[in-house]
Amino acid sequence: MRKYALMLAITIMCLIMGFGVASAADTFKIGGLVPITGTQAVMAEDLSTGLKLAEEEVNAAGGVLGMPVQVIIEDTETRPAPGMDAARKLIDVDKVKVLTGGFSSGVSLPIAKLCQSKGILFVVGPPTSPLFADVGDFVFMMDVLDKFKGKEIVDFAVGDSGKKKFGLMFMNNAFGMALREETINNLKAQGAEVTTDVVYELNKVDYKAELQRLFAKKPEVIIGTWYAKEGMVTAKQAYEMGFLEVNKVPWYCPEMVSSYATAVKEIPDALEGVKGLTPLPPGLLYTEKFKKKMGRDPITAYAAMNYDAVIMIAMAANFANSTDPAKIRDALWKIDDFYRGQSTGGDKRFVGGGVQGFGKYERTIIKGGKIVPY
Amino acid sequence: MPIINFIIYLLTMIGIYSLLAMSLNFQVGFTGLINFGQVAFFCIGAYTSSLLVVNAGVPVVVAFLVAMALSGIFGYIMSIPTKSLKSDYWAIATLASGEIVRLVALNEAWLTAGPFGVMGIPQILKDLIPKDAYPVFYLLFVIACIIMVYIFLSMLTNSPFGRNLKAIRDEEELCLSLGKDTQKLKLQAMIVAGTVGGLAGSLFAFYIQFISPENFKPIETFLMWAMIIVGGRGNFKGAIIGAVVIQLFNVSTRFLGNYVPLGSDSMAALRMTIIGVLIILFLLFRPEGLIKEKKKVYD
Repeated sequence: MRKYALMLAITIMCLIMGFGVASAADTFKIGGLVPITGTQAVMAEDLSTGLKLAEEEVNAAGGVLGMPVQVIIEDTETRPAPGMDAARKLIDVDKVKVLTGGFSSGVSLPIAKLCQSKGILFVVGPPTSPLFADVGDFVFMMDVLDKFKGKEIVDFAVGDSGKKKFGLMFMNNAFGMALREETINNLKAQGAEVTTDVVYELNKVDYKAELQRLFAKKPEVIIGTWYAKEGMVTAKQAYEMGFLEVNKVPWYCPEMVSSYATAVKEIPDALEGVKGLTPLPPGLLYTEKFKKKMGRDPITAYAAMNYDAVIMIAMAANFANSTDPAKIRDALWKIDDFYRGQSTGGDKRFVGGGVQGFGKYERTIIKGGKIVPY
Repeated sequence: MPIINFIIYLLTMIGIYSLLAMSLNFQVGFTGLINFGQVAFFCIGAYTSSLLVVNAGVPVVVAFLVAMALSGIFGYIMSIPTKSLKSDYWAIATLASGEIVRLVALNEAWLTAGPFGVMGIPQILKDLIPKDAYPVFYLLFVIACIIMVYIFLSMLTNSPFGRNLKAIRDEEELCLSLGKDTQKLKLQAMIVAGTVGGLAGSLFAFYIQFISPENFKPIETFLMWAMIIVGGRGNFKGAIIGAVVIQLFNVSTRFLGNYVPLGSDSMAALRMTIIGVLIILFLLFRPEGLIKEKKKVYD
């Protein structure tokens, strides 16, 4: 009998926690999905700060329809199932009508589908998969699609290096594969040759075999992208193996910040001279507010996309004079011309499918342990 | 009422994981087969049923049956090279099998869409069920599956076949000395477990409506193990109770922020720690789990 009493107590305790969430009707709630734990947790503090800064700014300006804005942050664990738990909790328990954030496309895509089916607005932050454009009219994106980045990095690498034999190294997930495909298509269009095409698995502690394969057919240029942990291991091992000599074989990376967030601090010498793309840095307003709040520079430009998302949602709600997600959705198409954003160059106009049509990337290089304009 | 929707979602997920825990308990608790690749059945079931429906237009009922059959067949195939191994080597081999299945799903993009995952999985009987009632309908469907599986597995484990499995678990040499073909019995147990795991995978895919290889990482097997350690080995009630407790603990940490003065980042990091501590506590103080196996004494 005691064991059943224990089980019942556990169940009731957990359910009470769920029911105990206060529902403040006079607050405009926005759900913020952040990978606080898991493989992309290194950027969680910045991504959360982006959301909170926007919340503070909107509230200082009077909130939404006179109500304060509250961004409720939930952890996706960088995995689809907990990501779905987080979204369901935000929608069903916290009763949010608008979601934003996310980081991994694989985690955010099922959430986008859920939002579409429930009529919840999802303004996706950093993810870039082209599949979001097909989900439906309740899904918007704050970052530019992978195909845009694929063209940008190929234009940069071919034009800057003047070489034609390319070795590619991309991670085997939705983000990496979409970017790889666009990179290959653009290289072919420019008459370049792909000598080696290495697809690697995440979360490994050794990438020497992949690096050996990458250089097996003597490529003249490398294009590759990583997450912070894999970027650190790969850069360290490539340097030790003598493959990271950019004067002989230049390296170009479509995602400088997320690839080298850790490595640029830990092994700056190894990365000296690596070139690539960085979303145009956050605007001055955002950087200053971030520094004031955190006492340091932001490590990623992606957090500014979360910031822009919250500001645009609040603007659209005020413009629509409603907190109804369908009306906010319609208003987003109207206010995007007027908002000067803090991410990807500031032009946040949407095009078909709710994707960003005018975002810009900056060509950067690693010098003296910093990612600086090239 | 939105909170009800969340509870229905939670119960549905608990139900799906209960099936997986029952499947694992059938192997571990009744047969003594340490399976660290249980997620493979989940993955095969999810991919087979959804690809058959999305790409081939096969009726959902047929897709579910094929998915269960394929998962069962995989249980058989997975056991062939390992059937003569002792439990620790068997465990390592199953861990590899689980990863192989996930990597096939990840890399064979022509079949599985690779890392992009399978989108457009339809809702079962969507046109016949009112939208608002659909979550309840699906929950009842999952509960019906659990009841059927529970009855089926209970009948099996109470049959002479089940007694043979328990004999393998308790003393394989003794079982062999009585002339029992223990290797064949292990294969049969894996087929049964695979079939149930495949059903759980199909239910998951058609509930979430999107699957990708990221859904089938080894941590899912870890959670299933946590469920049977907490719930209790050698009985199916324990598997279900374990699924309830682990899922509730997992989700409840999302609500603790309202009561404990910790940031959401700290609470998130605590989630897996809490489950880890729970497992340690059970192993130390209640190794038989919440529900102890009832052992029959034969005169």
